[in-house]
Amino acid sequence: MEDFIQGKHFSITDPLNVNTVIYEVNKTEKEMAKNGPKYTVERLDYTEELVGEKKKKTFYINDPKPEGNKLVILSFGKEKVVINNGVLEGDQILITKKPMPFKFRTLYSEQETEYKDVEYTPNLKRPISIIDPETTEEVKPILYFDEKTNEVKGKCKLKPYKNYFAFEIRDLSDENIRIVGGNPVLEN
Amino acid sequence: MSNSERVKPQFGRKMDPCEYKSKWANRLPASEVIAIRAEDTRIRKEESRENR
Repeated sequence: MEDFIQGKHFSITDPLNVNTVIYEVNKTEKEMAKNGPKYTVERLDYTEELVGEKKKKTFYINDPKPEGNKLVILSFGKEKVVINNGVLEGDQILITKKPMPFKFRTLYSEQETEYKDVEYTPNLKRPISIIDPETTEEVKPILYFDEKTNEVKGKCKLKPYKNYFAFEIRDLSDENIRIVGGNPVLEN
Repeated sequence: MSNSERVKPQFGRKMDPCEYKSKWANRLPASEVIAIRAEDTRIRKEESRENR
């Protein structure tokens, strides 16, 4: 059977209680950016296998680019997320040695388990990704049109007294990356 | 990198902000990066990505 090559892959091993997800980020072409987001983020597919108590994850980049593929690396722990960047260049992934930890605001949580609808007006030029750090799954908003205000609004279900991590790309060039993130906190 | 920038909450009632600002790894000196080998992904012609 004939094989063909589709992209590149690389592996990292998560320490115990750490869950890493990786996004490829791109600047949108000028024409497209007029009506849409300036930057796009796409989560890399991965497969995982257990090595002892640790998880070895293999991430796949389907479309290696001659100028390099820019990656944002988020490693979720129990109380923090560590933010880092990497670039696929040829046959290697370069990752900086200076990641930035961001500690979640700690909230007491025992009684409240009910989800709350959070409404916000999304700026379609600046999409925000919201991640549940426990599962690393994205919380997807439901978009709807509010006839009263004549605006497209988003609604998503977040649990009060639970940590989430939200981030958006604020600036992206061939030299630098700037991300603003945070811990949206719901209080009764 | 700095945590100092104030960011207006985008949704919810509060959002403790953080800012990550860095040069891309390929713009840093070799002493400041870790290199991991990336290998070609080989797929059999009749296989779909889902079956990988």
